[in-house]
Amino acid sequence: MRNNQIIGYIENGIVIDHIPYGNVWKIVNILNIDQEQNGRVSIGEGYETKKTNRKKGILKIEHGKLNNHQLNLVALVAPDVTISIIENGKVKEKRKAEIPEKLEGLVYCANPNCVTNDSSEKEIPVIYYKDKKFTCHYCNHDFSRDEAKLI
Amino acid sequence: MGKEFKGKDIISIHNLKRNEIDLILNVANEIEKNPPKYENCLNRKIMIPLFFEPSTRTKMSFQMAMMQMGGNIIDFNPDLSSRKKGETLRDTSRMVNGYNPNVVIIRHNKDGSAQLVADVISCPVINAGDGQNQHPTQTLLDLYTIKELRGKIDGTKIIMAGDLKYGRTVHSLLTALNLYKDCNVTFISPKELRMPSDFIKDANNVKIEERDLSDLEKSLRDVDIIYMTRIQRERFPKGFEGDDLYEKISRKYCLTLDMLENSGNSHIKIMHPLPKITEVDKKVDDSKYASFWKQAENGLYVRKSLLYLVTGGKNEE
Repeated sequence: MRNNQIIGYIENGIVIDHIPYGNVWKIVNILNIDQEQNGRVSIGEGYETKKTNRKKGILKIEHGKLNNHQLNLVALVAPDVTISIIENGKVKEKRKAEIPEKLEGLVYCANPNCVTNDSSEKEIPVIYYKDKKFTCHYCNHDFSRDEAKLI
Repeated sequence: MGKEFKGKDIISIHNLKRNEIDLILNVANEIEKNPPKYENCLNRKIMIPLFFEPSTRTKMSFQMAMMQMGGNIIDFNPDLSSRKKGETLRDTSRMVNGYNPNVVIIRHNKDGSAQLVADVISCPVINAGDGQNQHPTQTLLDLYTIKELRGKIDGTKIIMAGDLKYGRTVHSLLTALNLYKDCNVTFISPKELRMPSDFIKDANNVKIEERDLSDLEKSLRDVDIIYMTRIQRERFPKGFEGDDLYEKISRKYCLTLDMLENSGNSHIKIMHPLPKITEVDKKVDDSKYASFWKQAENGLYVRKSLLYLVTGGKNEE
């Protein structure tokens, strides 16, 4: 049985595959899946990939759709996942999650002295992403994805 | 001269190209030499200095610059403003913008605050120091002083000494020197306060050497300038251990007149962003080596130049 068939088959919805091991629950949390609007949600963790022999996670959301904001959030947690849109039991479209060039209100600046980290200023962080590096619009501080904390 | 500067914000030294820096320094020199020509060039222009943090030299020199060129200043005291009631910096800036000033100067303890104000205010905004981040007018006056001392910035041989880890002035000066040719920079600092590797990596056009604090005296022989910085107590761990370490380092880190006299380099000059505490011996203050007083004075000419350029001032030709 193929890995992606082990956990619940879906006729329509989305499959987020190749989630790095240990990150599937983070994605479940950040997507804040609305159970009334979606069908069954299947979560798989610890499957081995054929290509790399590394463990991965899979998430299937029946009748699920991701808006751009959710796609951006997924990319921030796990930029290399594959998102498949399933219609009538077939893959209609496959896409990669990509971190957008400009992130407004999605991640904190990693510089603790940045004006956007002063709670009394109530500022929305504006962060640019280029060449795998985050840069704060305000303080110009550069930081990596490991340092980027989601809001 | 410098029409392209009209309306420009001066937020970071990173945003300035070499030709722009050269223009600012040339105008500063022109203003220093011909004060009467510029005494009314900012007539009817209004500056609002938003100083949320204490400042001696920067605030005073901006105010003097504005007044000596015929401009006006609206004073702002954060302790007597709506900031005390919890108004955000964005809201304060929006309110200031409504009054239509010609230029706004911002000093604030948070990194990135100058960019925030510049995003809101439509007239030019000049950063007078945002937290640990940038203080571009200090870097420009440092470059002006180097040019004044040597006739040019290319080929400068300079020691940067003291707190190179947290010192905003040395970081920005290194970035600016990287725009010039054949500069040699020797870093001398306690091992706890070394120049961060990111800054060294970015300054790939500068020849860099790192030495220990104990090499201070013998390093004086081969350079044009030594740029001293203050070592701040708060950068060391709290408690007795931190006290001991700070005492040990600060006792070792003092440039004396004897060291300068014995260096065999009679042309060496000392720069310092000030305030200085114990790192430069008092006997040096009135010696031929001390350039830090003129350096502070140069802040006036560089800030005059910036105010003139960004507001599009008109001189009397």
